[in-house]
Amino acid sequence: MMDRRRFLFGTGGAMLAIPLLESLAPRTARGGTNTPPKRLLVMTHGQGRLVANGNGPDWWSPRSTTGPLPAVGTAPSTMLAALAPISDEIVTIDGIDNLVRHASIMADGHIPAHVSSLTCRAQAGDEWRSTGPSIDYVAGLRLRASAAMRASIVLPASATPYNDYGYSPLEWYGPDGTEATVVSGNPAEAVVGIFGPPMPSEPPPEPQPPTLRERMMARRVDLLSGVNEQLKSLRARVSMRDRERLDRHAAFIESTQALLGGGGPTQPTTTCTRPDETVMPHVVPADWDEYQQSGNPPEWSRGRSDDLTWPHQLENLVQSLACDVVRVVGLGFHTDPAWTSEFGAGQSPFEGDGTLHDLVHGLQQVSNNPQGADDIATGFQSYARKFTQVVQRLAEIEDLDGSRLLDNTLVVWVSEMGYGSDHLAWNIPVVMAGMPSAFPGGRGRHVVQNRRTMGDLWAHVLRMLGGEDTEFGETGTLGELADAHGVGDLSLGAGYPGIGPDTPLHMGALDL
Amino acid sequence: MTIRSHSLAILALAIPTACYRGGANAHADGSDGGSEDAGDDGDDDGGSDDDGGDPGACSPAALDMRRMTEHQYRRAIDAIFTGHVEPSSQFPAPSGKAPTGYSTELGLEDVGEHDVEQIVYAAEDVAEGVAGAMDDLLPCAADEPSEACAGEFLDVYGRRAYRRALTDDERAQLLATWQAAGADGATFAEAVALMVDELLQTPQFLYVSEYAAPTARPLEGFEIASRLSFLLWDSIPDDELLDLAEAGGLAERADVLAQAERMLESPNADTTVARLFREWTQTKQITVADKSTDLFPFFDADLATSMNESFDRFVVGTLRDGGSLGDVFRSSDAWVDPRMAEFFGVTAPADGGWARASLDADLYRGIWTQPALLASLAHSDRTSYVYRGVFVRKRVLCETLPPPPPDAMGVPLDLPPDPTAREESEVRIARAECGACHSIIDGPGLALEPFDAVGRWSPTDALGRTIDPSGTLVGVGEGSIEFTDHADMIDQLAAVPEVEACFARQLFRFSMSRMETEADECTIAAIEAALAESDGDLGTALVAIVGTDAYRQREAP
Repeated sequence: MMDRRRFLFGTGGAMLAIPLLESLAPRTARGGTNTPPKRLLVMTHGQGRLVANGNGPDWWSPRSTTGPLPAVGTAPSTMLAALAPISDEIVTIDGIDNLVRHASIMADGHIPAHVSSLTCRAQAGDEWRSTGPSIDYVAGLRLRASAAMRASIVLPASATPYNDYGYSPLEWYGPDGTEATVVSGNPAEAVVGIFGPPMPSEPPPEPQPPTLRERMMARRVDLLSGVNEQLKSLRARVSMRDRERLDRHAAFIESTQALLGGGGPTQPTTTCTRPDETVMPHVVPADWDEYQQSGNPPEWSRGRSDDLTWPHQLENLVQSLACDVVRVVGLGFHTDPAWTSEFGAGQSPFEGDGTLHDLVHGLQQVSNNPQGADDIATGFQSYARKFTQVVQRLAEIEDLDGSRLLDNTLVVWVSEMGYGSDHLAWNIPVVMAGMPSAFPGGRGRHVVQNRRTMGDLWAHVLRMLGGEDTEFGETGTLGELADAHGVGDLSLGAGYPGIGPDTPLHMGALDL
Repeated sequence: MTIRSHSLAILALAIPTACYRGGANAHADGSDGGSEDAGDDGDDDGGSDDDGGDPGACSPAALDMRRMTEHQYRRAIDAIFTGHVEPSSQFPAPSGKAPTGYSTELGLEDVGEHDVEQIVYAAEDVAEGVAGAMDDLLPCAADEPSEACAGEFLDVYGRRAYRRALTDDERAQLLATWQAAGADGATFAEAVALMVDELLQTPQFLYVSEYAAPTARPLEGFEIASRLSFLLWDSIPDDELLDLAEAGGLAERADVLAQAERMLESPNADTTVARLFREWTQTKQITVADKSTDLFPFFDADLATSMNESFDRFVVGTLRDGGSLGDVFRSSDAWVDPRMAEFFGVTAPADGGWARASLDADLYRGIWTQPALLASLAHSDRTSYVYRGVFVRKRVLCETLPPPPPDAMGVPLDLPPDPTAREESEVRIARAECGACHSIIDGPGLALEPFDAVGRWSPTDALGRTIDPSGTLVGVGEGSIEFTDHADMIDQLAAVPEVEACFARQLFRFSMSRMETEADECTIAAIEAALAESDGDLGTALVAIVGTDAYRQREAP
């Protein structure tokens, strides 16, 4: 269970290194409590809304003002047509900017947006990484049942190598911008990455003496109790000011004991099922370097195997939450997909040299290339369809209290940019679903925010998960952020009119 | 009226509008503007009429319990286990912002949301290292893995960790851990490691604390030893200091001063001295990512590293050579390796290592012209006369500047095409909402304008126009300082009493890890007096506070 105190002292993006301790299996309390844990699922895709740059018709926005979405079965918009079956489950949002993207020393239009969208942290110089953790890690560190549970895992939606820059590891980070925990895009391998190796059929080996680390892990809770006694003893001898400091320390010892002691059991749903990797297609992504050197895109690249792999990866994703193996998951897409499944084998205009990236850049206006715009809208249904399937599958699973797994899971779908055609980082497309308490105005709505930032969005998400956060990631103004990271000139060309050095990185709470 | 308050009075008369808010009641402010503009980092001049200057008459200076910084933790682990065990990288990093600008400030080290967990992991990392280094750490472990041997471990390493002998209860509790581990099948080394795991999570290790008494009291020997070691070494006391404390050899002022001088002479003090000057001057560890490699293609990681080391060698070297604050300001020497020699345009050391070099005395002025400092006070692609001017006002003169107006950086200036830095400054000063502060900030900043964003002498700007470095430093000395260039400005500044007074104030903040209060003015005056009497001798200045009763006593709660 989540410790409330951890939230009372929540600081949003302030993160620290936590080792993965898979060897210490958390206790399981199947049916031990009727209050299910809160969960988060974050999905990202690249290139923003893809069609229109704000000067022409926007194919993504369902409407220009706040109000209801069309009824279930009716397409909310051209780009979001595949969300029609779940339009009463979702909230679509306009008016959120990725401001931190501007404080980068890199001229590239994509990397700064990728690394900042989920972190709201500055880019690490000219390195292709962020300086802080992404929202999934921050939320997961708070929501996990115990220190043995990973803060978050990221699932690639396609069987494509992860070191392909287009494939989203650029968005996901651990503490201080370290690598996220990304499992395989090969579903069979992902099962092992998520659930661990299959149970051996042979008798278990003779137990080995515990290692020193295991001995230390086993006595962490007791040791901390001893530390607490020492704190009390010291407290009696110091000044009032010093006592306050020790009291804060003692309070955190209690919450840490709960975390380290496995005091929070995992809470799998009654239908939790480990997916069977033996029946999955065996897709082995080749090495990216080999791909680069050969110049011949193999059959699996850019999502060409999605029809085969996606159903299994979807189940991996949903069961990782249903089985309470992890409470926060990310879902990332290749930023330059072939979208074969949307067009049919050999039919996609995005095969070979016809890259989405190039097409988007030539499409400042729909009228520039109507066929291209149509193709993009068709392909975009791949994202919308998968989002729909995620929501529907979460809705099918009964949670511990009889509600739907979806009702205890906040689902957020964002992109790194608003209008990818010009690398514009304003008006990020945002779709949310799940957890009814996150939407006081109800679901089945489109909401137009009056200038909010990604920092505001992720702070809102943390609040909905139980925190008291008002900010996420970098704070202060854009100019202060730029100075702190040695950024001479803000890349304001990719910004909303009116953005300048004094623009605050947080504008206020979202009104959903 | 003291020199300080006298100068403030002059200042108030000389400045047309209210940029300053310093004065005797401004001590508690810790706000920070954080902008390129005239932001307030919380420093204040805090002048007082109560300048006693008699170290025996000052009331004890309050020093709250403080948790070791990450830097101190690393050094402490290294010292406890004499370099045989690597410190863990998982110890909590500081969080927040220090109004004083010094990284030891208490608020940065409060235990936060995930810090207890990190402390657990860090202790386990080190404990594992101890188990692996047992033969080096504990000779008796090889032949006599007994309880006596475990006790011997505590007597040596436990004492270092707690900076005092362990009490009987503490010793018994840790040995009980050792016994229980042995009974559970742990090897001797593992059982000792489990003791270490516990030792390094206790508040006795993590916090430097002093017990509170109803009235002010002299510090005990072990307490003095910890104050000295964390002040001068950023680490634990060595065995010599602990032995002396145990034997009652730190009871007298002369004893303490003698130890402080010994410690300052030790190489262990080098990193602390470098940290003092870095944090005072806001000189960060420059990295290649800080600068535009398009504009400065020669600026690579090796050069950044050399710049950092050159700075540290300069300040430490000045101290080691018996130098003064005046030398820190005015020396034209620098430390160079081949990269820095190329940077400065001087002959590289023949052996490829580091050596002192004499630079052009017309251009170079001590710490002021250290490339690491100038690069820290600049943008990635251009200089910043505002950063540099604020540095002069706030860090060198200890003045208070109010935060810039909320829209200070967003208000477009009506600038001519391709304005020079001076033209830009003039336009900004002409604006009513900007002029009050920029009229006093920009002058000293513009004097340093001929040093580019990486700290290189560059007397023309990007368009080839000669930079005019002359100007006026308003409100200093007898009224204002007129100067022809940066060297002239620095030479004149070095001679005004406000600078020495400010340095004394900075030393107080560094030593006590907090802003001063009214009650501290007496102690600051004592440091200032020690500086004056020694002609600004750095060694004297750095240990001056140690000689005050205020430092060697614990205040009443």
